[in-house]
Amino acid sequence: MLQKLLQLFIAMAKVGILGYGGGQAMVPVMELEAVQNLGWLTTQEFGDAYALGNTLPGPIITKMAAYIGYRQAGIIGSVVGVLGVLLPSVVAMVVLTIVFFEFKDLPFAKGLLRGLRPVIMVLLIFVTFKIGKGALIGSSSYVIAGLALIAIGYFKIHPVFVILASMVYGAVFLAK
Amino acid sequence: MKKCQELAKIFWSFFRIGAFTFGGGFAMIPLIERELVERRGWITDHEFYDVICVAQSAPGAVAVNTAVLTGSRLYGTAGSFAAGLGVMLPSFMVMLAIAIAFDRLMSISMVEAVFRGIRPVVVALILYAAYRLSRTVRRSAYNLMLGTVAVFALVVMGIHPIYALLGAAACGLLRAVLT
Repeated sequence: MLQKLLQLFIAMAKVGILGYGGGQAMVPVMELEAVQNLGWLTTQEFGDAYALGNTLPGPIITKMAAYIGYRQAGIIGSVVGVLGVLLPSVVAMVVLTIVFFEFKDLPFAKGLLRGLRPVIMVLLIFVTFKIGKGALIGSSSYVIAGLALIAIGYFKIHPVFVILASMVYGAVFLAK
Repeated sequence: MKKCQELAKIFWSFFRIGAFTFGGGFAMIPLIERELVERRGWITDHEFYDVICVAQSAPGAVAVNTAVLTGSRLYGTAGSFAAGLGVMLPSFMVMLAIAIAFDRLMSISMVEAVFRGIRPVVVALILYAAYRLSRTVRRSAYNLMLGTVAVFALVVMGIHPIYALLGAAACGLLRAVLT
């Protein structure tokens, strides 16, 4: 049990360190750890949790960490997961605050951020493909994904409403 | 007593922010500003800008980082704990409740149908997240090269993505030091 918690903590701390560029940027790194490295969830389960998490308020990353942590080690696991994912950023900020208000600009942090963003973008596209392989079955699912993209990207409809609409669609048309 | 009240106020402010901001990260910034700068008057606009700057330079969720930073400026370490806990507690509790009920929920065929509806939308969501992130990446030869090298290393050479990230971080640091 203790070992499991430690493993969970380390995995989430890794996500916390490498997920650079805000909450969404942590998603591909989290997928990497939880799905590919540790095999704790399938890609589809990860996608389901991500969609659900997006309909709820608050930072996406605490929701994902709570969910994955709970599945691994119950309520304690979810607490450990969230602590692990947050610890690196809290430590980094304590250091950065001192540096920032002392020197006013952060060449190191800015360099890190600039370096990581293009690669995280590439990883995000990979995750899209991976989840797409399981999620896009049949032409109607391509149409729905396309419509969702237009709704979010072009009409600027908030993702929450798009997800809720797709839930209603599923309940009405996809029930077996 | 006064201290407890102040901390409770900080906690409650961030609890509200955590409970009512959908879409995470950058979507939360205007809400946080309204609560902290306009409604409470805890920090000035200029200070808020500095806080956002640091919050974005650190790894992790911008909302949590902003909360911890603002909390610590208001009331030291205790303040940062109150703010950090406040901002993540609402989403944590809701997600935990869902995780606990998940397996039971998934055995209901209606819920399963709902998820069949969501799945294609997840693809769109992540693709859009990639697009939004791409707009914060400057269009430079360096970034284009870095992205291309990453694709090549990941697809053709099949390296582990962690090494791609570490390599990118190293390049970024090296560049910052050299220029």
